[in-house]
Amino acid sequence: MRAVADREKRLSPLTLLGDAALLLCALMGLAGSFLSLYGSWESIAVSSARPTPLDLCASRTDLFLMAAGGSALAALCAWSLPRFRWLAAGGLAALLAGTALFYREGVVQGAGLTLRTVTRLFAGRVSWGWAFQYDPGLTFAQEGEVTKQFLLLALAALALALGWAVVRARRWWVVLALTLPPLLPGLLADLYPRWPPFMALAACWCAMVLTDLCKWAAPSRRGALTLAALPAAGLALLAITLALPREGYTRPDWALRAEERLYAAGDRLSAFFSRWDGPFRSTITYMGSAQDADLSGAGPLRYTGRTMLRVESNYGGRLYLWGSALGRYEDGRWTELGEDAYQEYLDDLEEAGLEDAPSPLLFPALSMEASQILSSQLPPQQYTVTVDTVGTSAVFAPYHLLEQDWLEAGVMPVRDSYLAHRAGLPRYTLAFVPPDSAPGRVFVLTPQLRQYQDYVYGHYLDMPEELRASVTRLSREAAELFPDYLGYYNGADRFRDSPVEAALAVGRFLDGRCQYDPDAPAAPAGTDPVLYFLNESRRGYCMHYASAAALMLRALGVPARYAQGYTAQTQPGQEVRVPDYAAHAWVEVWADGYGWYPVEVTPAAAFDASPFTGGESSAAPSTAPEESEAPTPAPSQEPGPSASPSAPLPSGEDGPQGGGFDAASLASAAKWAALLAGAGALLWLGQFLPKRLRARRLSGPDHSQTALYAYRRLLRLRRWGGQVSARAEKLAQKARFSQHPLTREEGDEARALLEAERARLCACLSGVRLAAFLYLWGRPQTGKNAGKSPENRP
Amino acid sequence: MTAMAFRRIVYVLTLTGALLFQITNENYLAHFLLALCAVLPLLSLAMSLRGMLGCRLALAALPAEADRGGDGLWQLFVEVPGLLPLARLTLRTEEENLLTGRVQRRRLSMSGVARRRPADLSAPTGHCGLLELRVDKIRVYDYLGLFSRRVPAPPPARLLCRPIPAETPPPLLPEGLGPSASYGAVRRGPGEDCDLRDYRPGDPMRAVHWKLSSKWDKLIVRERADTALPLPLLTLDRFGPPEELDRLLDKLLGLSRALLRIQRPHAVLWLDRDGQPQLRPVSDEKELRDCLLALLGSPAPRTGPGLDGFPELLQAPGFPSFRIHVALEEGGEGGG
Repeated sequence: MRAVADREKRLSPLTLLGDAALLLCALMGLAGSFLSLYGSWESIAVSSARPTPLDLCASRTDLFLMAAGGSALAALCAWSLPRFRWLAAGGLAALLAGTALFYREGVVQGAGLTLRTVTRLFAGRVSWGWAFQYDPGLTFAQEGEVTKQFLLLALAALALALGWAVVRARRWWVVLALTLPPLLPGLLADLYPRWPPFMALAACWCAMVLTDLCKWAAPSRRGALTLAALPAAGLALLAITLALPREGYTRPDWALRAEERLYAAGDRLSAFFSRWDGPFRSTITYMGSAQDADLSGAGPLRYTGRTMLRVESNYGGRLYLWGSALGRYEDGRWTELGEDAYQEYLDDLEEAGLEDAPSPLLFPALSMEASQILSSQLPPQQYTVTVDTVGTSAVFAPYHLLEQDWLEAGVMPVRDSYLAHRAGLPRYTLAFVPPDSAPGRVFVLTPQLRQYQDYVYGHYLDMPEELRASVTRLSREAAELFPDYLGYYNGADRFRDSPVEAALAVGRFLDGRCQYDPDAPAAPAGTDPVLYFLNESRRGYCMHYASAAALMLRALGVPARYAQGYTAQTQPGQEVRVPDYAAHAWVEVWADGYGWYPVEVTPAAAFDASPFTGGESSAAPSTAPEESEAPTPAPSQEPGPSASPSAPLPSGEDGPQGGGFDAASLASAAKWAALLAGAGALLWLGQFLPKRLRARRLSGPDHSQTALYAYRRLLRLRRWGGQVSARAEKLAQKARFSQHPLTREEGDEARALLEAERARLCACLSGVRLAAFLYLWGRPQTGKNAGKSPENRP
Repeated sequence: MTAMAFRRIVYVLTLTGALLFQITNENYLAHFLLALCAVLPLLSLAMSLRGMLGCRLALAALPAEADRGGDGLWQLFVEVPGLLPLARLTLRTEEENLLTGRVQRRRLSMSGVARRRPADLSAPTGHCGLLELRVDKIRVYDYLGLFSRRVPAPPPARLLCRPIPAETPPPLLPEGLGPSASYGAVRRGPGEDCDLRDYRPGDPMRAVHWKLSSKWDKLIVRERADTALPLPLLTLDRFGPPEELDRLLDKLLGLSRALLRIQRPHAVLWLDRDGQPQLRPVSDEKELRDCLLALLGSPAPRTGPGLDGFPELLQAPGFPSFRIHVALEEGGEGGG
């Protein structure tokens, strides 16, 4: 008996239809999305120069869609059987297992190739270091064939699991767990599948969510609901797609501001906890780190536009705010030289009786002695800059720092690499000499500067041995490209005496050899990123250019190190925000008698790109060596031919924020919204106003008028097939011709006759006529209060 | 935490996640996901609005009467317009035994309620009484369980839980009330049965049958038959715990049925909660049912004064004269 009931329950046509629609949407949407996500040439081209097996599969999308449809129907049939459904599903599973066993070699190879393609794509897009390495030793066509076999089998197996999830379990999260993971790597890697199949899949997810509460309802009702929810979800997705088109999408302005506030709140919270020293602590702690630069994991540039710094200065112009200078390059990563190496310098200072020597970070910024000397010649104007580290824990400072009260400033130099800020004090003010006030060449070799210079030559010329030969060869090529330097090449001192020229020369060499590309993929595992950049991909951005330049300069005998930070266009008295896309890397070269000198080596052409598409700040210092005969500490003052120092920087006021909809999408969305709202309002008014009018006239105090109005309405109902009863006519005649007004009961009776006729017509009409009737006439009142005037109702 | 609250929390968390995803991610997918999270509840509301607005409930008892301990069912009819089922319906039921005063409350929730599909609830027929089912706090939800609407409560339903008649032989009635005695129908109006007798001092002048008096030359008066023959009166003290009331009512029903079997109309007398006498004539099953409705449909206190405390009531003129007191202990009291 129960089995019979179950069979009747399961074999509802509406249920079958609804389940079939869900399964088809899920499987065909998944197949189409997967192939378009990983198999399209555009997506693969980013990380690979040749097509992958999935490209071949993508060219047979129709085959996969048919397979998905067939698998869905087979799974539906198996799981919808009234009895022995597990036997049927087990039979299908056994069939699949047998097929996989028969083609096991091809299936395994196809699985490996699919995994390889997906992981490579993912690693290339999101700077993930690991990618599945697999080479079955097949030709490309064979690879495509085995991948197709594997994908078809996987699709059939997934259909079986999805059939259980949709037909039997009816759990939306199971469907989501089965269909989302294959797409997740691509979606996380900022790839987009073809929209129609993806929307079909999303519609299936939405319909499952919408029918979740009714999953145990009567089968026919559940089927009807599924069949209503699926197109409704599809329409909603279509409306969203039309209202918010993907083309020209930029992140809304409110999201940028919210992110900024979010990070600021996080920092305030962090500052609060770091400021709380507890009852037993009284020492001042400083925070910050050198923030290593990892090139091996540096994939395509991705920015969110969030604010990293807020800078306020009485200086107006472009500032390079350096965060750390890194001197050790190993395994594709720049790190600080470290405590041990620096201790040697401190020991030497101690031996020389110079324990109180200022930090080496002040050397290029006019050490005290140099400042005294200079002040007698040309007293530089001092400026201050106040930096609020909104989105970072590191300290960023301009070049040419003046010696100052570190405790008052709230920052502390850490070795010769970076500054740390006082715990809980993320806002600090530093004094500096702006680039246009800085002196030209300063050859003041103070004792402590001499000590530090020895330290620099002892440590900032190191290079991994495996890179030395290749980098040296390239640096010679760089020197050979510029005849001016040929005569000096054999003398290493030429470069030592002209480190800036050497750096600019290397920069020009890199500009000619490599191409700026913010979407440059990460170097493959096992290869050095700098060598990969110089010899293979020849595409990269500031990190690659600065790293390559630093190593090439070292090969030329010029101490150099990798510097990273932000560029900012300040305006006097105004606070400007420095977004994350203003992050930059450059190279510092050692100038004897002066100190570390920043040189821009990233091609200026790169700065034309939009910050959101990976372009870097246009605050490029000059790459024109001819204008900087002497190493001046003002690289941004010397714009090269292609540099654009006057170009607007992304700032809080006038820079491209990337926020909000563009005008077209906003207008489109507004148009659709206005149309929909207008249509809805008209529909609503068309029903509401006549209904109010009718109700008012039928419930008026004059019962004779009520009866007459009810009679007129009855006459109008004749065009719908209504009839006017003799009683209604008699009441109307009495109301019209009698000297006595109608009583309340007679008015109620007339009203009840009208309602009864409307109810009768509602029962007689069907389909579109019923819908039109209900819209125009409203739903008739039923029950004991029907036809009663309001004062008569309880 | 109710399932609906859980759903709302899950939705808020999902929306928050989508919002954070949009804030921290520049991709279009984050934007689309946030828009979808915002639109999906509206879509759900639009789909379920008709059902939510047009949902009506009705209550019924099936059957309307049941023996104590028998099968009694409440039926909840949900009228949902359209083809789509109602996503979820929650309500609170309150079942009250009007005799014992016991109230039982339950919270019910139903998902996927289709049109006019009754939901059966078992009625508590453990004790005699008039059971009343009321529902309140009725809410209908949309398909995501985020929006809800209150639905007006339907009129309550009642189920009479009858006593189980005890197997009782007909009581011994005095001469004139026994099985051979004949009672005229209790009628009013022109067709009433009257006996004729000689005038006795004190008889009202209205009762004089003037036509016969002139014919027979003596004063003859009319006397209605129902007042002429004394009715058996079943009395009971209607108080006590429910278990005792059950047994008492079983016994009463058994006696009443036994009297009806021998075609003896009788009356039932009890004191209500306020001490007011309630007298119900019983001459057939219909009147017996009316009597039971009155007897079981008002609250019975745990303790109260017995009818013995009101002798003047039992001796008042016009009251049935032969009394059978129904009590848990054996024995009854007769009177003439």
